[in-house]
Amino acid sequence: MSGQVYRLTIYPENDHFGRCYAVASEVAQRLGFDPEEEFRFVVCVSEAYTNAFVHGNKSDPSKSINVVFAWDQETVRVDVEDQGEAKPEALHLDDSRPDIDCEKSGGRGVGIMKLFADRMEVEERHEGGLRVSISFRLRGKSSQVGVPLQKSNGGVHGNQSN
Amino acid sequence: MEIRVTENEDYITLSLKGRLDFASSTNLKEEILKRVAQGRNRIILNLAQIDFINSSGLGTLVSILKEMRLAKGRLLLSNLASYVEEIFEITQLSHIFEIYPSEAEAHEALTASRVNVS
Repeated sequence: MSGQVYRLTIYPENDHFGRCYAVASEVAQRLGFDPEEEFRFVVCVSEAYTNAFVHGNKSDPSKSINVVFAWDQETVRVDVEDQGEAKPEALHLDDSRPDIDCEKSGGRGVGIMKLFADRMEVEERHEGGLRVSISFRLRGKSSQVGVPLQKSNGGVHGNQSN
Repeated sequence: MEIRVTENEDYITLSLKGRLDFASSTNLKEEILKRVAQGRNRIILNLAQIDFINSSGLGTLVSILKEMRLAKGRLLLSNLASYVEEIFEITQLSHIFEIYPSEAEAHEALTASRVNVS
């Protein structure tokens, strides 16, 4: 994908979930998402991030999570990479629907991502850990594709490239 | 997430503000179960100021609902924003929760059921 790329490395410090959501929200706004689209986008990023923290890194405070936002005129893709040992099968990709057994307490995250995002993929990284990729088509938005993000998210280590 | 508790004679209202996700879920569950243990098992959750919820938050609400059923209590939700309501719809959770447009309507439902029982 040629376009803008914004890479974050997030350590599980204070309000690390909130810092991840804030960047996702800023990306969505830059790309011209309306509030409901922004909510869906941030929910998907939050699901991937929570899975990476809880199921991938097993809430280990010494392990970080990479979150990479990449977008061009057509698509925005978010890669969330953990440092854990889980296999893709652990996410039950084939049968995950958000409404299966609606009285269960967990297991809805993958289903929500599959429903809200246009595409979702999971792969093992060569370095270890899983990479969850979610993509959204931009559907002719009057986005500010070339506008850099503000790098003001305290505690989040990020950089942007073209 | 902030939790504001309003005690009424026969029910309590918890007004939630902020994010309902993995990080805030434990606190909410503890806050509610503490009151259920004290016999306050009729609860309205006002979600008007919840600006974000994901599957972790939904899972916690389901878990709380199950605990309240065991305690013969009732958990009612009110004032869901449209995007919060959507996530309840797509997960089919709108079928297992009692959801009302306003706190007043949730209260009315509690009162009506009490009248019917007596």
